[in-house]
Amino acid sequence: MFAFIATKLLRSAITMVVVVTAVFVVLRLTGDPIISLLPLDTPADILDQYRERWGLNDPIWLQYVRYWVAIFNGDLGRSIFSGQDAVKIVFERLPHTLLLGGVAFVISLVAGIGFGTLAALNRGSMIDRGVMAFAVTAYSLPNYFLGILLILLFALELRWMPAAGAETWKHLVMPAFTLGMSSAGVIARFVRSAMLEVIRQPYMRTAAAKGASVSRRIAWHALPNAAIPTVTVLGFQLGFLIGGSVVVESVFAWPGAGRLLVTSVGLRDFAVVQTMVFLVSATVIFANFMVDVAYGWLDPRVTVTGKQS
Amino acid sequence: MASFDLAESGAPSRPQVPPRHRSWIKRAGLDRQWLVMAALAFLAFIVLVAVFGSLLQPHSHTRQNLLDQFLPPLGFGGEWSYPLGTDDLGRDILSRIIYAIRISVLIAVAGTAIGSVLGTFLGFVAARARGLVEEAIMMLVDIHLALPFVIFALAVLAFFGGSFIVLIIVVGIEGWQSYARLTRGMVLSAQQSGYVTAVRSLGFSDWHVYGRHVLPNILSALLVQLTINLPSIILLETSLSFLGIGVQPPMTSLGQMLGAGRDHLIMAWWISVIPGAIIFLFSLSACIVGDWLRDRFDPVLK
Repeated sequence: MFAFIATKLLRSAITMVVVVTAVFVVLRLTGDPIISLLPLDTPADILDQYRERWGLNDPIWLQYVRYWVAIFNGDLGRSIFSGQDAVKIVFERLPHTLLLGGVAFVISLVAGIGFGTLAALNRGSMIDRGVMAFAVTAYSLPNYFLGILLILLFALELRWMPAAGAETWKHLVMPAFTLGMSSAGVIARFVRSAMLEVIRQPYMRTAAAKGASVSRRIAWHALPNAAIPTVTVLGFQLGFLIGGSVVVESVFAWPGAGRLLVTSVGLRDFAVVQTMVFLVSATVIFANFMVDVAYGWLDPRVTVTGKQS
Repeated sequence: MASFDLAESGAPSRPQVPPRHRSWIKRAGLDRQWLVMAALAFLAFIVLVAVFGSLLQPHSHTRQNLLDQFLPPLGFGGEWSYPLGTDDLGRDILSRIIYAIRISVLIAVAGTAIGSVLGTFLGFVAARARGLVEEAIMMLVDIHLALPFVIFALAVLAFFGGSFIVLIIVVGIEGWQSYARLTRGMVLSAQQSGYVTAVRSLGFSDWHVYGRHVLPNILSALLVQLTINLPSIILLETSLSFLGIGVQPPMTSLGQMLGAGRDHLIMAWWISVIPGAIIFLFSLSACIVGDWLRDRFDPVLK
């Protein structure tokens, strides 16, 4: 188990280094933020002064080394526009995104596991077909289009829900539903196939023979075993949710970090974009590391190489 | 990562018909697969519009007429001169849709080409080289799988200034990892098989062994993968364009039209809903066809 965790940890660390390096290279080599920051007729010497102040005139390797030193000091730079600490700017927006993502994740989990189990237990029936149709529709329906349809119906036509903003719980309903739906489709599909695999197993027959009720057999014997392959999907769904929140926050004018990223990208605000990518990567890599560990813990057959023995 | 399985809800088995009476539909395995046939028909329609649409386009996609702002589509009080209505600048939605389909299909096709060639090549390299090279390539695959690509796409696009070529490359990179994984796995098993040993022992080069013998053998699985990947490519491009970071005006794509129409939802729902519906049907059709192809030609891919 120790070797297993150590291997996974090393892989996660290398991944993080690759990501940070790639982001650094791309962001630094593709444009001069000073030019878009200052008026077009700014004299060259003033441009140079600014470059000097932001350390953009130093050789790229020095900027890179400085970047890593700064990261270890918890300093990811300052916004080139507001001059504020980039980490602080992002963290101010983060609670909104965490709330939206958290609720969406719960929605996708409940709907996904519920529908998936229902479909597996009624294999080949209308319920099964309905769930599969839901899954493929949820995946193909772009979340920005679903969002716009919801706004048209519930905000503009029926006037039940507000179309934009984040003041009350009502503001959360449509964005969270939109974000949760496409994930729910994917999870439902995986739970369905995992359940179909599990209910064929001999221990299910044993449980039935011992007189366990249907609900007990599902909740105590089938679901925990079906959860093992599903856990891996959940790790991927986190990245999926974060990517989706960028779009959904823009549709519903939700003041979260995803929308901050879109605006910062438009303004070429290096520090904020770097901070966002850094945080998102760290979160996703950590989550996947936890998923790997959970997988090894849930399923004793998993070995160090990650393959079943 | 995500693909869907519809075959099990497909047709029940019917008594065998003697082969000479079978139509091409049955030979293609399309018998009673109404959903798949509808999806194929829609994809064919989209491709036809993309190729020949310019002949049918009633107006230029950029022609403005401020006197004809916000005209609704036919059936909602619209008129025949603008069958799908007009947008906030009085531009003809039908003409813009036809043009946008061409751009979106172009990006999807070019992106798919880039991703499949790059991924397949790296898959071959990984399987041939083994060791550290393979480890590095598979690590990149893992990284790509774990991280939300749209965030990296956003960063790259913004910093390259929204160029069309960069957009195509970014959209292309999206799918490389699935081809790389698939190719590596299949080439690894092909290397164990007799025909590779035979060709190799005749003294042919790697290019000949892999290009002329292994590649044709794995091509059908790669083509299935290509269809399965199509929805995610379409969705990535339309999302980026929706956020205003993909296709830039005066050029337009389905996602860009939808994003631009969002500001006029109260006045004119059709500006957003028409391109949105086409994106949805396009990606849904690709999903359905991809699943059908996979179940039919490559049960191993499940």
